[in-house]
Amino acid sequence: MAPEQRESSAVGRSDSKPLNYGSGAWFLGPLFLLVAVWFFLGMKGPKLPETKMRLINKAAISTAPRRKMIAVQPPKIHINGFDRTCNDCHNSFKSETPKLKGRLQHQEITLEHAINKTCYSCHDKKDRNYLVSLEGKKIEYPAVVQLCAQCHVRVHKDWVKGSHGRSNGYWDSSKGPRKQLKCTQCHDPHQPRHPAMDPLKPLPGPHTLRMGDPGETEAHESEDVLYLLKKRGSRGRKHNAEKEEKR
Amino acid sequence: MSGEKRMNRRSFLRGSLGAAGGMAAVAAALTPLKDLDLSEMTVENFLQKHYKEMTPEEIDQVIERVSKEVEERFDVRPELKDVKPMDGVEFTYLLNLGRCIGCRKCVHACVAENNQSRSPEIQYIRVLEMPRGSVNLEHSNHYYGDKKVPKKDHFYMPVQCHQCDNPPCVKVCPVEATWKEKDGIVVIDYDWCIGCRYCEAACPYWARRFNFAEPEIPKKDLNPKMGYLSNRPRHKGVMEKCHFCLHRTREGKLPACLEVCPVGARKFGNINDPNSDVVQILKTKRIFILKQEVGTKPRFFYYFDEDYGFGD
Repeated sequence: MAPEQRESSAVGRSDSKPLNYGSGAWFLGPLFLLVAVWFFLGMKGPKLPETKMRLINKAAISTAPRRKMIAVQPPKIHINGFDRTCNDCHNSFKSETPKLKGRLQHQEITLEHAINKTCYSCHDKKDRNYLVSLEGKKIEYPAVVQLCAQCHVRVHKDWVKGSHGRSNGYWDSSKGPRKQLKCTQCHDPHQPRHPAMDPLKPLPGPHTLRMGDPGETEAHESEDVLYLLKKRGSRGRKHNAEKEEKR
Repeated sequence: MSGEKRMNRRSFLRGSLGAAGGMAAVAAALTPLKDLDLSEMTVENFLQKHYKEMTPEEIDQVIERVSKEVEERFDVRPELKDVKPMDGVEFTYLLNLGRCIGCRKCVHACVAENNQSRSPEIQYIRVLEMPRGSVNLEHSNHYYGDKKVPKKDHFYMPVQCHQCDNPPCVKVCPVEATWKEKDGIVVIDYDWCIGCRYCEAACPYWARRFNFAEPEIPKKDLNPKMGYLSNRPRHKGVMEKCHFCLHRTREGKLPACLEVCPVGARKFGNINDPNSDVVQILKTKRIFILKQEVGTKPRFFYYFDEDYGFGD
């Protein structure tokens, strides 16, 4: 189409039927006003449910070992304000053949270590300041790992490689020490159990809004989660319940 | 002209009503802007370059600025550092699935270490509870709240950022606010992130978290030892995720989640060092890679012990 033609046709239209901005668009004003009101109301629209501040329980995340091991040689016992060693008593009381039943001392110890049923499997009979190996060699208390390793060979191998046990400190030995916890810092030598770890109460789980519906747990029955469940028809719970039934 | 002729009282009123309504609507639509907090929007902040393009002096300036911001916000002067990756070090993380008891201590140690928001709550690590005998993530439960764990016939699988060698989250970022560093850690520049959440959608491990609201941390609980790319306080509208505690690990320390684990299920180290325990474990143990089929080449592996025979 040539430019003159277009111009002429446009002029022609304006001559015959001029553009009218007023008549057809009368509703736009009220519509805009309605939109304005709607926007204003919408600003006070749905909000995320307010979540409570959930503080971290610092005691629960302590990195301290679970047990205290005897870390000095000879072991020290604090009696009536004095530091004693094992031999201070045991030189007087030989207790050559100890019966586990009817003990007067060390009653707090219960020995439940599978086939390892006597004190002298691990404690030196003659020198009570020491532990003893299967061949009768003295083992110092801080070196208790050598004692355990005699039977628990594969665990010990894994511990040496680092796949068993806890460690703290530095992964890079050039930067600082790496503390690898020893057997008795987690396991009770007199009563090792399976599982070695006592069951714990789990710390609270996720409470974020995007992580799906919580299951049937008492730990998450707080108000905002309940609010969401109500809103969404508690799909997750039913779903879980159905699964349980199928099983 | 004909238009002038037609401008009578009625059309004028109609027109002006429309115009007034339109302006009111625009004004109403813009009103949320009056709540916009511009206090963070300083010239320095606005003109800050991308982390990788900054000179060491510029980084020092940014660190000074961020430290001041943190001090104003929390009344604590942080020890903020920009810790660079170590030469010849590539990190890897191992988790012993047979040991984990699901106590969630790692989750909470992580929150405390990395200054995650307490309200709304953000946790980097999710611990999935699953029945023994299968690994079905779809039917796992991360909301378990049993009185005691481990629950009978269940096992627990903590999932956090796998620091993939082929990270889908990095590929989708439209502004390169997240990238893989040479030690393998995928980091986020919280000042560069625009909060589009593409990375969150791209991550097959559901490891990324978004600050939907201004994060709240009690002032006394703030961890003042901070890294620029790791645990400095974030703002509303940015992504965050596990970064292997890079402010600790790049100085040779172990991550916070590892140190707190009561059963020693977590292992961390340098995969380039053949004598490190992680390499020993990778060589000798059975390894499980989560979602291996998606090809992300994670740096986070799960492993199992053999049965020792003593019940331990």
